[in-house]
Amino acid sequence: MGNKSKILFDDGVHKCIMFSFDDESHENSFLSVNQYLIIQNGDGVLIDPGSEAIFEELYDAVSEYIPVDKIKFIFFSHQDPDVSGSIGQWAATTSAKFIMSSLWVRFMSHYGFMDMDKVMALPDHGAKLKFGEDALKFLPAHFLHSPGNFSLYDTRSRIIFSGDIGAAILPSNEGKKAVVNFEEHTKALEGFHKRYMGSNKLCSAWVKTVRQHDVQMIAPQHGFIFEGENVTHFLEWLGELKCGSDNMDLLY
Amino acid sequence: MSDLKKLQDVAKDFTILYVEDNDSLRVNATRLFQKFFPTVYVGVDGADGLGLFKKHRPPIVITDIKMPKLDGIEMAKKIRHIAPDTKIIIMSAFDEKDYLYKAIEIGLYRFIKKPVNIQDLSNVLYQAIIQINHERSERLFQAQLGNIFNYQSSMVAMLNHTKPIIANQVLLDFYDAEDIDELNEKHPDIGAKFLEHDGFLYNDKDGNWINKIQADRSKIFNVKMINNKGKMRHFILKCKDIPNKNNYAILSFDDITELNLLQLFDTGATTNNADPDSQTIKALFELLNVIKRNNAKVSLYNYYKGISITNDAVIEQVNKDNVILKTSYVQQKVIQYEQRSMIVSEALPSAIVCEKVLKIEFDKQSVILTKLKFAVTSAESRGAVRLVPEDSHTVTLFIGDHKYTGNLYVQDISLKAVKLHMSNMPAGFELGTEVTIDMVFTVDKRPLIINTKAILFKKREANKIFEAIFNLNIDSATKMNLVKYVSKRQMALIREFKGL
Repeated sequence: MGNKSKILFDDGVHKCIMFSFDDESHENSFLSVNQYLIIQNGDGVLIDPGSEAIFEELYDAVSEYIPVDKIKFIFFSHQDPDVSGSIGQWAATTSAKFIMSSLWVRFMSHYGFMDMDKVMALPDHGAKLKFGEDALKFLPAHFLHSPGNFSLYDTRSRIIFSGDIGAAILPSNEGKKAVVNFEEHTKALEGFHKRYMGSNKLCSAWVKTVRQHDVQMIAPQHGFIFEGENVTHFLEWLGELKCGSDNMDLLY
Repeated sequence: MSDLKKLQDVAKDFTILYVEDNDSLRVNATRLFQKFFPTVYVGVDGADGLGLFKKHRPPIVITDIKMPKLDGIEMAKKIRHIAPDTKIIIMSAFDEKDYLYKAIEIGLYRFIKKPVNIQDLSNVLYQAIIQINHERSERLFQAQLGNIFNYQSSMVAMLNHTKPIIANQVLLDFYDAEDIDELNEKHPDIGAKFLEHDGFLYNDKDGNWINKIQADRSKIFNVKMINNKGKMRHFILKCKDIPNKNNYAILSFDDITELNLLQLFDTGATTNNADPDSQTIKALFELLNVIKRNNAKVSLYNYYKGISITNDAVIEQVNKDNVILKTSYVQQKVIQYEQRSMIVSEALPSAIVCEKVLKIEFDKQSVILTKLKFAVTSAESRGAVRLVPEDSHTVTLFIGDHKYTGNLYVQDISLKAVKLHMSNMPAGFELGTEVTIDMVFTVDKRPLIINTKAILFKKREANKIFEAIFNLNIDSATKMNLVKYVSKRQMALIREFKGL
């Protein structure tokens, strides 16, 4: 699989890197799974590092940018195994603090994580954390799809690391990382969001929160990133989407 | 329940003043009001009504507008001046704009047009009483809150976001402020007075004090300040959220200067003292009592074959030479296995080691720990996870070209170092000596070889036990193998622990 990485932002002080390691077999193709790393002045923040299956590759890939013991924080947008499954491995190999919703802390022992003092548990309304000269904001994204879910807004790069929000079911494609034709891309967004996201009310609340920030890019955990006007297109699309409990008749 | 019955229920503790110059109307309406209110004061004109109000101060006034001597609007104006919360209801056949404007200006409660519908009137009276009750409760609550604040011997403030909005007298006196406005004006950041001290809370390069306490409201902090007499004071600071009130919290400073604990927090005061005196032990128990009094959480630290197992705990009781804590089942299990634990809290100068377990009660989720002393090393200081390997591992040590021939096994291994147990220490084996270590572990039932250069970092000889710690000088390919081993071994140990 190799090291599939892409620099999303670099101003000489602050750098955001996207990795794509595929760890799930999806029908006949591999599902594209993204992991992210923010670096400032030699300190790192790892975002949604994924499952145990990709731990060694990601460890190796991260090491090419930063010594792993310089990772200060590891953020898990939610509790799914493709997001948090490797927490035990990262706990064994770094001295980082682990940031996640307070809902999921006690469940982490199932992934082999016992050192609860290393956890910074997020309250439902989120939090702001100083990182180097800048700040990281943990924005509530509950029930989109997990009941305890957060997006991470990096104030320096103005990127929202959105977890499963904006995720697209696509085969991995090493060459392509960003959405080019939004209309075309909605075909890959629709099925996942209609079934996995809680409701239009919840999507709208997240869109409203995101619009309060200056966002240059939305970087989901699966599929392609949204840049420039595609950020606007995506927020408009999500704000209008009928999903989850809006489609109750299809579920029961 | 009918509206009239509802009014009857709520009006039984209220008095009312009714002012009307029309005799027959006054008699009929008074009879109606007396069905609801135990006392109805009745005035025949504005001047009479004002006199009755001054004498009896009823919370509700119903009045006509056009009356001799003093009209209803003028009377209402004077009553509102005396008692602004009085609910004044105008009943009049005149609904000219001028009267309405005046009524609004004065802040009258309602305007009811004659002829009066009894249903409408009873609704208005019912709503007025409900509002009065609500306002009284609010005032009572505020007064009680003020009393609670001022009865505290501790300094107490209520915060909205980060700004104090109420402070008790003790806090205002300490900050030399007359009231809350002066406090905020003189001290825009009350934490700017917190002085730097090891392990204490103060503004430093890592951030503002308020951000640190907001990160975890269940913790308590040590704070040091100089009072207005120039004396150093030592406080325990606690911040507690107000339930169902977002962004509001209560900040309290418990002055513990008299316990003389400050010197405990001086650098090395506890960590350099492996054999503490009775004074230090007494101070240790005092601190545990302070933590218990503040209902603050502590953490219990333990290791199972190198895996750090940390859980929250609450101090239930502090006795002469032991402490009772409530904690999780997982922590109870590891305490049972290891027969020791460490108590960690922001309020302590260093972790407290509990070297003996008196009792574990699984049904009560409690543990009784004794033989307490401050830890020489910090519980959190282990940068890397140090794991005990499986018994079947093998290790070979080469010092220069010579193979070590004694008995040898790995006590624990991390990504940075390995600790070897040796049956003897070779002569001239100096710190800084470069060695080659060849270790064979088992991962997924297959052998995994770690062959690396290392430097002797520390050695220990006691009671014929020889231990040596080597810092690994590892290449990147071997490092990845070690990462693989450490992460897999951790999972195996967790499975083993869960199976205990």
